[in-house]
Amino acid sequence: MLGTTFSRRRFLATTGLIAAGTLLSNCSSSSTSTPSSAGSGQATGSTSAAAGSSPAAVKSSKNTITFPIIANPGTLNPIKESSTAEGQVASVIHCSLVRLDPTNFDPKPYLAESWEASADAKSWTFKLRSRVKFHDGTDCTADDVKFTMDKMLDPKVNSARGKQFLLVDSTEVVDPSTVTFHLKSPWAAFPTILAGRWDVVPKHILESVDVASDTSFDKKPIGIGPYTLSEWVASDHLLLKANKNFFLGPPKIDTMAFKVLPDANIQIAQLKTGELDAIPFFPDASIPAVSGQTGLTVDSGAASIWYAMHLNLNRPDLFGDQKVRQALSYAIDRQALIDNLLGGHGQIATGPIIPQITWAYDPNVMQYPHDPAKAKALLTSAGWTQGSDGVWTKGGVKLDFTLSAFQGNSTVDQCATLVQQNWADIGVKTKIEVLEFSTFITQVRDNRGPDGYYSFVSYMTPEPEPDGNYAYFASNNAERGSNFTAYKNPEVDQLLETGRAETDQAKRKDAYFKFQEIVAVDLPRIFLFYPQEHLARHTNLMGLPSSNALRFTENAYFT
Amino acid sequence: MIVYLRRRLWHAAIVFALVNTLTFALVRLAPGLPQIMTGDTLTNADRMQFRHNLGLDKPILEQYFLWWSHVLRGDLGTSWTEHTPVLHVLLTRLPNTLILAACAMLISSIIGITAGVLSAVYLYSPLDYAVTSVGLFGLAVPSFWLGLMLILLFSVHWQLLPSAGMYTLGGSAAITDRLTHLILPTLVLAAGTLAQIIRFTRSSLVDILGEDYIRTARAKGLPERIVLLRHGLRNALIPVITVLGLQLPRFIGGSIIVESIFAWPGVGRLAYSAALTRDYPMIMGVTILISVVVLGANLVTDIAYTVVDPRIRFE
Repeated sequence: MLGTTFSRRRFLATTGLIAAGTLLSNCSSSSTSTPSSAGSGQATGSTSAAAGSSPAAVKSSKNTITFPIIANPGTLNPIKESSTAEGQVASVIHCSLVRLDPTNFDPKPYLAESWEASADAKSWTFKLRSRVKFHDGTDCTADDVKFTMDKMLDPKVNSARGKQFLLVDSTEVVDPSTVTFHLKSPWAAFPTILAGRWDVVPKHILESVDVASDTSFDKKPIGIGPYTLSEWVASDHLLLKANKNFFLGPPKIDTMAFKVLPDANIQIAQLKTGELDAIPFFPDASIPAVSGQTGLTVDSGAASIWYAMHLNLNRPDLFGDQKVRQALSYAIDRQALIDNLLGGHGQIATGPIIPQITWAYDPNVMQYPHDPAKAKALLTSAGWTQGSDGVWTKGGVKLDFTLSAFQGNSTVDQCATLVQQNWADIGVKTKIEVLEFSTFITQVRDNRGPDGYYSFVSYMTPEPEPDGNYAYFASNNAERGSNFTAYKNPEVDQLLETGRAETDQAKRKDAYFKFQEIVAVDLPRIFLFYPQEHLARHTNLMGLPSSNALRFTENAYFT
Repeated sequence: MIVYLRRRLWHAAIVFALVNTLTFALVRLAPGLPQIMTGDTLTNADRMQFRHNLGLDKPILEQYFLWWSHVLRGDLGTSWTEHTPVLHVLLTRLPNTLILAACAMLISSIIGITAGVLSAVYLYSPLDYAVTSVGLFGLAVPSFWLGLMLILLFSVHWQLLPSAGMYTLGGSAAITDRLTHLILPTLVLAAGTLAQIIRFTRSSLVDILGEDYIRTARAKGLPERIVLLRHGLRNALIPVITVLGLQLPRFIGGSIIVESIFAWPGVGRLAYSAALTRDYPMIMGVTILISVVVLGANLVTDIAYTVVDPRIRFE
């Protein structure tokens, strides 16, 4: 049936046709995945006045700002958002009631123009700006705010972000521009948490659909933010147009693009070629690659992040003694970590509250300058002796354990190596185990009993509020939640509760100062350093803060 | 012929079932959680809820048979991270990968066969050594390194070619624009295969040029060009076809690194991100696609082999 004569020419002609066919079908398939009303035949053409007919036109007219994202967003519905890329794109389309000052993380008016708490901090009333419109022209009112909160707390939606707001009991629409949240218990940090993980969605679109299963809004989001989605080619790019009716005034740059670029080196290459204008959350390790380049600069600012060594306190033979933890802390050369890992862009950590939150940060707690001799003296006084192999032992237990880290963040695994060396210098032996992230997180979350993990290095990203540390240190999170070291201290619990419930900032300050003094001595975690958030950008791009830049895109402009 | 085909198809079906069963088991046995369950704020109850919603609380055998019953009805499920049907995602990504694969295959066979022939004709000449060393270089360098170096030179330093993506954002997406975006990823993807094709063409042609019928052809006064192309190359290409066929799956499934570096929205990158986020339906979808391509390529190669080489007959 195939015959005996095999013709190479026919074979080539056929394969050539197939190849041409795929090329053509690809051109058309990329435009079918466009969800927007742009309706252009070709994938990227004619989205706005800014899009010229040649690459050069885009570069010189500078009416388009291009950012990278590392993955294709699965959803742009803020209720369902769960990944970094999703949050980044969603943050220019949607807005919360408040947003945080990028220098000190104070909550500032956004959709809400003012707010106040009741005396017991259990109800919070927000006054909304008037005449705020969704991208489709519908008014955004208190009804939408209530709808959003209700959906986030709806068990059927199972919103990951909603888990932050389990303290919310009910939401009440007082009048079209006033909304009151009634909480189950007092919560002073409520506005700050709203700024981070909450964005209003339109009731009139979502009330008739099953939010959990419906995906049309995921792909065609309608918000009140400075930019509206106009084109989305899955896994390639998203194009957004300026929202001329944005309530803080129209953005200065007409078009915004997010390119899906999974490789960090390519992001840097594209920044250098001008294909990208800025890279938010620029990694410390990449700063040398762009510093000193003409036309490029890196801004650094506050980040709500701290790095720490975590010791499983459910292994009391090893880590139960406070002196052992202090010895391990003295053994670490933190300045060397900052110099080597962050290129000097960081600050020695004294506790879990970052210094930029000036009212709550206590600089005068116990500190641990690099001092190997003191570390050894502490171990000796705690009854440990150095064996013939130089490793400390006590009652048959050796200070020889596994140090876990995870892949994908070079700062974390290099940090593990440097700390391993520091500890080896005083006679503490560790074996580094670098796990894939999902394996790592399962291990430290679900496997922290007496037979669980030994130690790990990681960073924590609390909400930028002292109360953001509640879950990391409260004993009700010791078995399962984010209190990974299983630390239990009733006094700390009490202070965290006071800080959470009290609205008088002076009283909160007292509670958090005391909290910082206790954890600095007791060391439920060995705090290492506070890194900074960086924004790498072209020098002609102005107006963006270095921290949380994507929340302030309406201010960006080209010179 | 029909009997042979039927037997081969049976073999293919068995291998297909085995590959997918193995992947299904490995994915579920691997430590770690799907990304949607690793959120900082999730409690254990939430995770149980997720497990229930996704059907992960059922016995693994039940999950396995449920999965097959869906697959056999053409339902590959919905991606957990993209919130889109897996089949739809695969079909939008596949053409991008095929374009890249087709170009890489075309480039590597044209350059590879030409270079191989030159090498064989001018055996042990400086040209032969140059071709073989360049080929060896292509095979030896890791593609992520080659990709980054090419980007550094052609995009960042000389600003001749775009560094990544399929077309210029906001540009006209004209065919020339798409072609310039194809050049670098095609080169990197072709590099490894190129070396193999050069080597196979060269050694096979060297063998054949020593055959009696070549001497006969020369003896009867045929021009050297005819001897080389019609009598030599035609026979020498038989093993090269096998190599090309075996490389096809590599182009489809093995382009993970190239697609990641060049931000090429194809199947390889999809496989990588699905594995990282533990997107089970997507991992299985990619596995099905790639196993179909590999088995199909093997089958086609075998059939092509029997067609081009008269010495091989169907039983």
